[in-house]
Amino acid sequence: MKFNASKKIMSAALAAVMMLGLCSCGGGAETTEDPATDSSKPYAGHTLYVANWQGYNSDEDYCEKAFEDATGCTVEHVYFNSYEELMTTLMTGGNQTIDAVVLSNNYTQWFHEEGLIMNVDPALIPNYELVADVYKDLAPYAVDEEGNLFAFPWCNGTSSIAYNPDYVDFEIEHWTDLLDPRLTGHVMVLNGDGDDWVIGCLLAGEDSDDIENADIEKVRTALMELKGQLLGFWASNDEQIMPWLAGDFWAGEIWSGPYSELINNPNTNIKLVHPEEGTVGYIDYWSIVEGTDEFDLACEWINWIESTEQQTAMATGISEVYPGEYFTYTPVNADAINNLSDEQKVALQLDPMPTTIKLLPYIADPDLKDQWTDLYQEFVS
Amino acid sequence: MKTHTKKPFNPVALWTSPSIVMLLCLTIVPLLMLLVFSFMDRNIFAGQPWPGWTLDNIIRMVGSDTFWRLLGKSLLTAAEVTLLCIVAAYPAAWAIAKVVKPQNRSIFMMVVILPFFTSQLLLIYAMMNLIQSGGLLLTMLEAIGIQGETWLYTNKATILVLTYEYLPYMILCLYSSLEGIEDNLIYASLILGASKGKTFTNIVFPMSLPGLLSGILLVFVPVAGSFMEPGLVGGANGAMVGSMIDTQYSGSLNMGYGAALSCTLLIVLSVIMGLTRLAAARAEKTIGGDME
Repeated sequence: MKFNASKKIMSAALAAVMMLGLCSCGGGAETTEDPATDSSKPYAGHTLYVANWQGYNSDEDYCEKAFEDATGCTVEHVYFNSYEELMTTLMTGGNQTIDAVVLSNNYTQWFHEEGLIMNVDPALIPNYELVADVYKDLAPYAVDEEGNLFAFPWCNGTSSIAYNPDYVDFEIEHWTDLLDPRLTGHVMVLNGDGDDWVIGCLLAGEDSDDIENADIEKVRTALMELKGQLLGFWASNDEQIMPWLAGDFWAGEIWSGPYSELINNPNTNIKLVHPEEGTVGYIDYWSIVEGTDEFDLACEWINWIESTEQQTAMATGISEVYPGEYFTYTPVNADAINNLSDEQKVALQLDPMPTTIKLLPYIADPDLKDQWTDLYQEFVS
Repeated sequence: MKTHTKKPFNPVALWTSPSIVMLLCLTIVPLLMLLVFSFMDRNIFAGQPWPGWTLDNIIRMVGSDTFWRLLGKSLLTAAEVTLLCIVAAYPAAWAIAKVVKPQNRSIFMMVVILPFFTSQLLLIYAMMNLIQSGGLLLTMLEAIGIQGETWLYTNKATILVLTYEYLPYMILCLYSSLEGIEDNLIYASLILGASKGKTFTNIVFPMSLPGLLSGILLVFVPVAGSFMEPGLVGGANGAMVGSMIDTQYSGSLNMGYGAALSCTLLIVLSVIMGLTRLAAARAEKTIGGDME
């Protein structure tokens, strides 16, 4: 009897574990809602599939739902965890469903060379005219050697140095200041190859814009010296905010999102520095997937997302139609930038303004990329 | 004396064929693919439909100090976590199997599997909140006059979090073995004059070895390949070999090199598990006789 009872308990326990496992493997239930039927909406009944990081602005109600309201279409977000995963998805048939994708500046060229994203006539995206000149027609990130435009800037950001004056009693002005012994064990940087390469180059005095000719050994030495200073690496907003508030993270690289959250937190102190030698930066673009059957709608989506209204909502986190608490991102639309208040500029790392932005590099040569990847691996190990 | 009798074919066995096919597809085929990819130049999904064969991945791996250092560290961490799990799980499994009344066991088993009801990431974040500076643990220690430093962002934190995550597996495995040991056997040993220690080493331990081996397998192998926990709580020197493999797939899209690293880890783990099983079988015979 006891043995039977034990078997029942074990069976129940194992069944519960297996059920949980199976449940976690399953995707969300598919809905079978009727397509929009409002004939006044130009794209009623159409579905636009866009690929982006989860929670990165375009899936917020003020963007996604507002676009659906305006056009009558349905927007479906396809989430990815890395650009390599996205590339694999597109190469294995995902381009039969995905219509538009978000890409960072160090990936646009790669996707374009692989024939995964298409050239688009800027005349089809009227709001592209409103993009600030500094972000427009950037080669090689958005324009190829023949002048074809294949990526439309959407938002950008800098990962600059922040420090907590409550713990750091000296001015930090340069990346090399992070090597000060007083900061040992309290510095954090992003766990990301592109950022770490740029920081290594900035520490070593090498040019990350010409990374293929940079002295990798000098960069290695600089990164290993920085490693001795590190508390750890972060990879998400929480991983910056938690140790900062706990008083473990005193100085280092920080994203604009956590910076804007921490600067508004009365329980902590934070100071932002854009070193004159350079700030790590990125521009995120939207591109249209080669072979899409919703080309017009994809153009409409990009035009919408570059409008002053959308860019302002993205930069301020304020939406009248869909109010809520939203993260804010630095816009590329010139009018949206000019309309920002001083406080909003501070929150977006636009005050102080960076003097030099070093964009995440793209390494085309596979062997050279392996060398830099090994260096990154050594640094984060 | 064993006699072999030919069993007649049972058509009901055909019902197992879908499961067998599925298992083959989900285990054998991916493993073979991993082996094949190890000799591929870069990635079949990176614009090169058939990239070609190469030994460069193996050569690069053999010459990589970082890989061997991380492999050694991962195996050591896995051994430490497994040992901690065994030490913590034996009393817990014994208590549930032998001390708790049968009608209450399901409640305790539910407590053991409760962590499975939430996401692994949330468990890690909960532990991070607990042990960080100003967290609950250090605050409570301070309240009773003990000044402590946070373990967060150290290897100790990685071991702690991994032990916390994998302890239920060890308890479940040991429980299943310990529960099967008849109480009469233990009473007989004690009545015949064996001490409690002798009873444990000669009766309980050998009879719980199958469960212990399963537990070791379920803890050691995934811990050795883990990469999320060391990345989140291990600090600047926290990375393990799983992190390096992950980078090859999610960072540099070098599937060939990633597969070579994965295969090596797989072979090393298989050898270790094989040796563990041999050692356990020998111990079983030496201590308590053949239990099969």
